[in-house]
Amino acid sequence: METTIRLALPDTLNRTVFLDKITDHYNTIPESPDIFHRSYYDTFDWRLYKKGLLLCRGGRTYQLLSQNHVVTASATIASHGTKPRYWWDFPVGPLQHQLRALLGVRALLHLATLKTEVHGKRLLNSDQKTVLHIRHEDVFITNSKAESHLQRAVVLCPMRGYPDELRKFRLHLESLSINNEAADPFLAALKTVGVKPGSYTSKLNIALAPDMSARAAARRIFFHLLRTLRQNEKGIKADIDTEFLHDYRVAIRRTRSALTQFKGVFPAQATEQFKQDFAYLGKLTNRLRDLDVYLLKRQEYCDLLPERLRPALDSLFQNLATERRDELKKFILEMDTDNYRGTLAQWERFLADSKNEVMEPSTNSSIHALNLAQSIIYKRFKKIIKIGKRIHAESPDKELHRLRIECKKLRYSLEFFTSLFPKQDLDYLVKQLKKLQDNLGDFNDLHVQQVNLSQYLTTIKGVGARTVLQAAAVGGLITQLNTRQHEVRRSFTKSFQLFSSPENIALFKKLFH
Amino acid sequence: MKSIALYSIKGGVGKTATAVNLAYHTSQTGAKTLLCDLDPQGSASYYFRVKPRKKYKSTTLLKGGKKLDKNIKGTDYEALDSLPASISYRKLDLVLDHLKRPHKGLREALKPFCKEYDYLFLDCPSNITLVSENIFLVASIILVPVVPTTLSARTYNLLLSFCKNKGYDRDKILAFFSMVEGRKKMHRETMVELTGTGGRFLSTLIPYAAVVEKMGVHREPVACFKPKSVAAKSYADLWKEVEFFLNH
Repeated sequence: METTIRLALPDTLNRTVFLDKITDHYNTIPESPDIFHRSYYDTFDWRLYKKGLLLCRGGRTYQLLSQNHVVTASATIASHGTKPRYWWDFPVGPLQHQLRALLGVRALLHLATLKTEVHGKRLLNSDQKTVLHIRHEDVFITNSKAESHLQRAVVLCPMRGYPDELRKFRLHLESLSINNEAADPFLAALKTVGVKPGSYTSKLNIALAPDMSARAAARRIFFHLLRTLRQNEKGIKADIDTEFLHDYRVAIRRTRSALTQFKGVFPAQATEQFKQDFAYLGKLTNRLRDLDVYLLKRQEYCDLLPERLRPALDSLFQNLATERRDELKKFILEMDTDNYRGTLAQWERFLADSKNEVMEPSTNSSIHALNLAQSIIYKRFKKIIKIGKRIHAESPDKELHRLRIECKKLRYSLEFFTSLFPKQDLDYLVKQLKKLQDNLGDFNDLHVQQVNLSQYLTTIKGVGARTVLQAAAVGGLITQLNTRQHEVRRSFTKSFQLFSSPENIALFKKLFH
Repeated sequence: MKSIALYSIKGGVGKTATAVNLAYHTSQTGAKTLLCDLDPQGSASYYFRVKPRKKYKSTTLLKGGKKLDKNIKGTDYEALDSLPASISYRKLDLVLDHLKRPHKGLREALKPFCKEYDYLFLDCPSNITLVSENIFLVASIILVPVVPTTLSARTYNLLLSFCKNKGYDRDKILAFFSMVEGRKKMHRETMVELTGTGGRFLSTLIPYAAVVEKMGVHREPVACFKPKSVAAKSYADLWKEVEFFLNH
């Protein structure tokens, strides 16, 4: 596949003049003019862009393009029905397969639609053989209401095996002052509408300096989390996908964790107040997130059961879906209350006013950010080792739960202060910690699911055959989950051993002690 | 990549026309297709208006890889590329003979293109030499045009016995009737006779048609300038049959 060359056209050279200049010098034949529309999509967190990919639609055909605009997969959707939003909305095939791995549970959002007017010519040699395709393109950004001009460009599509002809033609273009590469129209369009690709990420990436004050570092971290929280509110309201709420909740949890861990950085009274505020915010969506998780587990649950019992789960999921709809409505209403908005506004004001020169000092407000980070992380690490070592085969589940919470706190702290430590070391430690967290997380998830399903079991009423099947299905699920929980528990010792290896302990000591 | 060789010991039976029209047909379905013109006369190249680069020789072909890649030329049709023939191919036998593994020279050279192309068509010179033996190793199917005449039938049988003696897989050989003139009694009788003796003949007949000869004037596949002609339809039908054999 030959790569196309896209060159910017000077304003002085309009289309007719440009095409005439070619016709005068070369043996060409015109191609019939064409107009096509392309719409571009990505997830809120730019999952495609970050992998150097682009999903575009022309008519009913979707194409996944790589950086050089080479098609890696494509699919055409049926003429009826709605535009696909999730990977599972695409027809089974290579495109769906690739999107599944790329998008996960995220929805596709429309970014821009471009209209391109094409006037093409084919350059011929003395055998009347085409040696180069030349296209004059007029690109417009369009939406349902208006369109605005974006770019004019000459696009050269070289023909394989004719490099000399291309070289000569480019020299000719140079003599017409056409030599500068034109911007990629998709990126140019985003720039025009003020969207910065790759700007949102759920990962924390906060630039801190070791010698900045602890309070300044905390401000920066909190502001970052507040921005993430705000960025996700719109997506929750529009009910685009489950990850808006997820990221929103993570931002709240991280804020709460930081408020608890950053001791003495802000005045105690204020810290206490905001801890309560964020506890309130977190609670608002606990049930909603639970319901999201269950609905996402539908396939997994069905796979756990023999085929005969699967239909009996339908009513369970129907109930969950109804409840979710109500919960979401409730939360959306809550987001518009004075209480909710006031809470966040107050927090924002507090952060804005929390500069050292403005706000009264507190015990740790002026220590170096590095010292704060080290003491928080090391304390947490020691605690994890202490609790973990005590856990044996007969320890109550409560102990694992405690360890899980501590691990979460450590993980957040490592992520807040990443920029203060060697990246390679931190990446390694986070990876080690993540393995332990996965084990503890699975254990907890399986436990919570059983509790909830048991609770649901008590609500099933009636005596008919359907009720019996339904109860049997839920009972079957609980049994399956229980078996798995035991397996996960058995592998805890190994997970913890790996995490608390002498090398890891030494590295924690070196970096944070 | 599936490779289809158009091969016949006898010349003037419609190999090149078939190779060009079938390659065009597959490329139109979106399959990446390469037509490799192995005949030093370069007729297939002529039809596509492509010429080899000046430095291109048999040795370049057998080197394969990047050197060969440079010599592939895009045709005027999307998804269809061609490797034009060089006049030096007339000595391809000699060059092959100097290789360590003379029978496998072509296969080694074309290997790198397996990933890029879905179909490879080989338009072969009409004779029976070391080049032919190379082709037997490369091709998934050897497609043999047979004009329903005594001489043509004789060379077809010659080919079969050659394969038998050399121990080549005769299942690869698929024949079809080419340049058929239904009004000629001899054509009709030869066809009955040949299909009756158990030869593997496809059921599509490529008629003797003026449009096929006119390809030389238009320098285009038939379907480009006479898409509704009987000949164009016959090539499409022929491909359907070949495709079936490729997949089964």
